[in-house]
Amino acid sequence: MAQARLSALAASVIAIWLAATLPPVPGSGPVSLIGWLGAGVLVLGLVVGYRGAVAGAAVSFLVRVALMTTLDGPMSPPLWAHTLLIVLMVELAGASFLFRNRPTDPLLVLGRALAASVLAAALVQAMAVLAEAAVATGVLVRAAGIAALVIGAGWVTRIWRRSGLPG
Amino acid sequence: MIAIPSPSLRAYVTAGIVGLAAALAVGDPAPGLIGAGLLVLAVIGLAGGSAPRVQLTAHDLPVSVIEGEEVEVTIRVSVDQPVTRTHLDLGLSGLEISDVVGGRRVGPSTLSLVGAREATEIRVTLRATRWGRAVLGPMWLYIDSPLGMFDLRFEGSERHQITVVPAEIMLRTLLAPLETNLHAGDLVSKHRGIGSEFADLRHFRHGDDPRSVNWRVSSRSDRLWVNDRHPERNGDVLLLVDAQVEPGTELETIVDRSVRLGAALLRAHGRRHHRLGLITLDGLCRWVYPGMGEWHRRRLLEQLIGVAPGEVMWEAAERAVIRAARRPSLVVALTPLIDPNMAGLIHTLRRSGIDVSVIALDVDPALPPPSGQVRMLGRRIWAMERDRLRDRLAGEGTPVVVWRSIDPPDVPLARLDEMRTRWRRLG
Repeated sequence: MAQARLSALAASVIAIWLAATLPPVPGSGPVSLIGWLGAGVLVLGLVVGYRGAVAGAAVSFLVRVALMTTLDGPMSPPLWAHTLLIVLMVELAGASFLFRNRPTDPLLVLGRALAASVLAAALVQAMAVLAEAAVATGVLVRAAGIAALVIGAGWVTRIWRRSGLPG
Repeated sequence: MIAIPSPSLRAYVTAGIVGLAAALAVGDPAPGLIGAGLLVLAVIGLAGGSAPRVQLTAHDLPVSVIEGEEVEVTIRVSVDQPVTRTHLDLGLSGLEISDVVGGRRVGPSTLSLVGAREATEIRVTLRATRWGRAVLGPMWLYIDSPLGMFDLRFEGSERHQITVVPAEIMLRTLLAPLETNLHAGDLVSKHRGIGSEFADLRHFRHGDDPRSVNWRVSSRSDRLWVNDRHPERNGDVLLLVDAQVEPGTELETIVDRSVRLGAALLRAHGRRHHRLGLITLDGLCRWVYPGMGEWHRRRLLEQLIGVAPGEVMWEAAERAVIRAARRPSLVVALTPLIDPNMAGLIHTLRRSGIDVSVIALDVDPALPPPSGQVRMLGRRIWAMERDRLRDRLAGEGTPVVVWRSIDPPDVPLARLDEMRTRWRRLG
């Protein structure tokens, strides 16, 4: 139980830190609100043991990133750091539920969380570099987005069905 | 096999799709890139999320063990595809893991296994912590999926029960039944027959064994004299275990002491070839008629360790006790004697001519110290009431001794034996 509390605390600290770091620019109010909402949902979910809170917080931070792109000035922290922190937060919050439900190796879980976050951050950074190189704007972005959405959803559905898992 | 998607998987899939949609909405690739990254993680996790077929079995399990004894059991884990790190919960109750070969102990009943192939065997040494019914199973195998996207778990169907009998207490003194029955034993019968204990001299009768002729006496007489002997017989011993105490309180230690002494008495009297019976008074009044043999002794121990503190239905209990306790049994009652009904029951047995001895377990050490004068007064009055019950029984000719918690079990038995001998001599 101590491990579950510790990982929940770490996830909460990351979420709160992420919500608190926002450059003071005009129009950042709603962005900040969304961030704090995500952090609040996560903390509350970890306290009461509601698993859906992890997804709720992740969605909130994604929406926050989307809204941040509409603000003036560069994104802070950078995109790869955002990804790293969001994945780390999700992994630690998920680990908290895992520790509550079953015996598991804490070192393995921590290593997996770090590996997943670094992998996702590297992936996002690589894609960002590629996207910049392609000068992807306007129509191209939308087209790529729709294509990625369709392909991604199809891929997820196919693998889910083939794996024979419930849901 | 149960596969539960982890909160992380749900979060990656949901946030990934939202990220892509948000990128379309705001016309900026940033959230889409994060969303794509999260979806890639989800896909990697899903790709390795197939559930293997698992079989869990336990072997070399004993039927019964002695409290504190260690037993080695084999757990066999069979999977249809190799799995990496796994955790195995043995579902232990009343047992603890003391050593493992082929795994590592990570919890009171949990093992960590580096991996499992087609058939992996783990040797686990288990120690019985307390008398009662210990349980192994149902076992759970927890498998880690790639990136932890699924919580894969398998529940074994086997559930094994092991009888844990109390640790042996050596008793040097045992109460001997006043009356014997017809089977061979080590009690000197009051009757005459074939035995080794000299009883009397009498004239030779037709059919007497010539070896029993007392030649020294016969040489001084004009007739043949023979030695009469007492045969060695066994007796019936019936234990009456009273477990009427409030459950969940410190008074449960009294039941623990009763059961330990009861088990020791059963073993010791069993070694003397007595026929043994048992009546347990708890929520359920159960009894076993006197009998002999290994199977019977096992049955008695099973019933004894099944005793749980509870409220006795005295009407049913009295009927049962009268049925089970018949002459020539010696009834040894192990009771805290806190209920007048128990004293009434012993009184009834005594009036029926049954040889009853009472070991009254000391209640005071099991109780927390009284707080306040009123409680102290109440405690003293209660102690006086218990004294009165004991005095009343003793006044009726029932030997009663108090077994204090600091005394070894031989002390009350020796005092009872002395009391019974003295009273018998007094007539």
